[in-house]
Amino acid sequence: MVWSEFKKNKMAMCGLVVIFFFGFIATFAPFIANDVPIVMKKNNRIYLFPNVIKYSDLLSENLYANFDLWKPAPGEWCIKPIVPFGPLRQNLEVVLHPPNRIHWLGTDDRGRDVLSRMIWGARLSLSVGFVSVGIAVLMGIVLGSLAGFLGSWVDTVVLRLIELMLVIPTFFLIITVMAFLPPSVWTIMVVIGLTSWPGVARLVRGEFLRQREMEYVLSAKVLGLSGIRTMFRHVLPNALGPVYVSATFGLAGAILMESGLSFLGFGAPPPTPSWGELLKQSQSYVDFAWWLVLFPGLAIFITVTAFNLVGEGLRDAMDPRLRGGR
Amino acid sequence: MKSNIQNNNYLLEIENLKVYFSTVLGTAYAVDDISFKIRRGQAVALVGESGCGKTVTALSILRLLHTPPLSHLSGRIKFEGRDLITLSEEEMRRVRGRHISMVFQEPMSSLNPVFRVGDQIADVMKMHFGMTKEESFGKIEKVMEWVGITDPHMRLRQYPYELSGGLVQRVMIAMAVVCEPKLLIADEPTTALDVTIQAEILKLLRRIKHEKEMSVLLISHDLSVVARIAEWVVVLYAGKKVEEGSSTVIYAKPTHPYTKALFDALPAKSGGKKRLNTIPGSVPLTTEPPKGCRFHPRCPSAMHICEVKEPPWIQLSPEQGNACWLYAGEEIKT
Amino acid sequence: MLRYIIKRLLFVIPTFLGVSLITFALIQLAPGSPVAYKLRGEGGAMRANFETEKIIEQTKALYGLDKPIIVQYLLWLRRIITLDFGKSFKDQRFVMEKIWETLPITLQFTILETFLIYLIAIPIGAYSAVRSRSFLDQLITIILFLLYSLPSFWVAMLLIMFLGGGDWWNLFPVNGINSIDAYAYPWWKWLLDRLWHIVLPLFCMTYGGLAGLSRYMRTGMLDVIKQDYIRTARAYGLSEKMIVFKYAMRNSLIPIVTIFGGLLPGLISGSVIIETIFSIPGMGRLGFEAVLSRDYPLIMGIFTISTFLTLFGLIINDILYALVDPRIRLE
Repeated sequence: MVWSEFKKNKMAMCGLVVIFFFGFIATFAPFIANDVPIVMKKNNRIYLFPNVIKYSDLLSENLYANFDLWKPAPGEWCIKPIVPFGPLRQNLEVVLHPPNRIHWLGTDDRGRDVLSRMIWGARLSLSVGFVSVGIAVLMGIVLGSLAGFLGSWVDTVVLRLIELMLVIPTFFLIITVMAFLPPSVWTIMVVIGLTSWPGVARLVRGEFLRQREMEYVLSAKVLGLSGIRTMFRHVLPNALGPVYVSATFGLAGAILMESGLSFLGFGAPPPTPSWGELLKQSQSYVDFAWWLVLFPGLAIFITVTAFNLVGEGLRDAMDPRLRGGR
Repeated sequence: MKSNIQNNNYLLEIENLKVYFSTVLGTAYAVDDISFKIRRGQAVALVGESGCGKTVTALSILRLLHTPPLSHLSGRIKFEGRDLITLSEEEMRRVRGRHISMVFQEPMSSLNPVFRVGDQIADVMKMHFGMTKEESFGKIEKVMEWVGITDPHMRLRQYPYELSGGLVQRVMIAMAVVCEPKLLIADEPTTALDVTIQAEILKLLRRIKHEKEMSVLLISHDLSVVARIAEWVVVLYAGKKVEEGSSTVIYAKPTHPYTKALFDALPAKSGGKKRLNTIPGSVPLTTEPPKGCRFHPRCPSAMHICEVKEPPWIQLSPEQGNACWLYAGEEIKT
Repeated sequence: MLRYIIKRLLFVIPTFLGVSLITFALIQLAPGSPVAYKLRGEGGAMRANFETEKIIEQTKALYGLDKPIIVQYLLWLRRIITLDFGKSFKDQRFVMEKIWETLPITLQFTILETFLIYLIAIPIGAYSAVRSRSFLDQLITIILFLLYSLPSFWVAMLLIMFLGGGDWWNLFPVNGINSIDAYAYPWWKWLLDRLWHIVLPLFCMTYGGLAGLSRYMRTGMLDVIKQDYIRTARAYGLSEKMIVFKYAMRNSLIPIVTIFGGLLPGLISGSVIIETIFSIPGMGRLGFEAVLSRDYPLIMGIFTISTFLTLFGLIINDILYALVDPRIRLE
């Protein structure tokens, strides 16, 4: 039902296609941008997918660290990914080159291929987005349903917490926490997740309050079903619709947040490739290195827009009355 | 010469009014070729179940329907000889509230919650007479007193949510008569109110008719409400006029099976012991009206012809007419 | 009305306590606290990296980290109430002194932003709603949607690149909020110089909130236009001008005013990035630098103050709410 409505929304479908495209790139990054070949023949042996499987004899030849220097000898061959550069591979001979035939989107200040770093950066952005929103949704559902179901003082406490979270400048809280904690991708995911649950909690709580008095819940009570079972079997599924919408917008927000943090240097520790980190580099070369500004920013912008479009599409599909509005 | 005087007796003449909407389900023929007239000082009632086109007729008199969803509006709505359909939006605006005013079903939501009721009435006065708030407040107080609001000086300065539903409806009526218009349209004015307040509001509408000599177009689904005010009754069904006549005649001898069914559904007629009679089925969507007579699927005395051919208008007497094949051939010669 | 305000002020107390608890929890993460000690393990790699013994000793002394936890909290509560956050680790100046220097600049931006956002968003949203589904409305809707998703730091970088010197145009300064010799200018020249400097950062800080609020206004107004009381106003011959600007506008403004408080945290968060990019000596950049150098007293001070600012904004918000919606006053 929702899907057939959603399909009619062209813009939202575009957004979904973009998300799948970025998701594909992120998932198969080792096959798309890497200096380690996909298939290679060496030492009279064919190695399948050395880019994802670490072969011990290749390791012992110290080849993984120097794949860019390796030239197939006669009788040896390899198939490299479309973008034959690893995201971490530095080449000081091509520092800050503008886009050209070899480096399609140019290179950064250590001679790393920008396209490769962006492809691997998609991995970081999307995984931070999904994990942190997952944490937020889980927290939101637990706190929201507890508040809506138990009511009384639990409800008061949760409401106060939500109010509190709305008062706090989230971004500043996150960088403050980042200052106290050792930098890592997991810290970012957890901290973004822990600060973005109030929206979901409010939705779930509202739905619980609304449905608590509804007939089927009352009749379930009369039939003697235990309260908790009723709540989770019957009420929660009904509350999930708006939660999906909120989670989609949350993904856009989390990706924006991650790139902002990386931009300020509070993101994943270097040399992890990330869109925000590329933009951060561009600060030092802003007078000429337009490719360092344009492409990573565009990637962030397109991803965020795509998630927002899908979120709007989902919301409209679920509640046609709201169509056309924000 | 004689016909001219006759004409002048009519304040509002609606001829062949057609109002169509475009909806997701297709074109809705909400009002399909309806004609009726209202004399000066007369109260006419539009009767029918919800979805019959009563409110749409009323809103099209004031030209309050907009494109979209409105897709077609034709016919003539002659008010004091002028055809309202041909008026410009600005000319129409000067008619609204000044010459024709309207009272709505839900009094509470019909007034803006964030302005004092007096100010809202004063805005109407300002619009039509250019009066300042101070000038109009005296007049408004008098009218509010006339419609039965005690302590109008204080009520004037209150917000709608500070008043009861019945009181707000009185305020609405005060707003409707303050410019002394010639026609008052009352769309289910008592439906949302308690029974005791209903009676008072109906009494007030009768007073308006008699003391202010205004014409009233009453819209109601409730024949017992209609009986207390209207002298003339027009029965609508699915966008069509099915019966029309003076209320004394229609109440004594309803002819159209739909009108009869409406009377049978009244509690008084059903008698205390018996179950309330209901009309089986519901009003069809006007996007796909039944062929022939629109009432035939629910009609107890439907004949074959009813399913294929739309009944013509049959004038049974000067005081009564209907659109029903049962009465074909009984037409009086005029 | 007065009772309503007092009631709202009382509601601030639990939020204030919540803020104190959250900030207190943050302190527990600081080096030198037993919690952080357990969390990271002694001699962890991170300690060697940025936590010198000196910093550990300083934080311990500042927050009384060796005292029982309840005493620590009371000490911290006293610090918050008296706005005494100690001295900055970096230059040993009082934290509040550094904040008072930078706060006016950030506030100046915040006030200008809020003003601009409301000034532009209300007419745009109202126009879009009144002329809903017209060509211009659809164009506005698309533009607002794109602006809404546009990362401000990217826009800032693009503006700096294309308008702020470098290989392209050099139309705007991109450093600070005044020229170096501005103190010697006559006042009108000083003002022009200031405006010239803040155009770009102000744009970057404003457009996001602007897009969000316009969309909000449009939805609200569309909703109001459908209400019965607007039909009544039409039925009584009020002019379109009066209906839109008086009847529909007043009701649409109620939800708009109520999210004023909700805008503030976003604006303060945004100031961190934009002030840093444009080297604006405001509280946002001070916070960024404090975090970079792990200047804990300064971090805690700025975080607490910025939360208080939003809290203050919320109170103003509630008062405005009561002013535009008579139903609230009566409660």
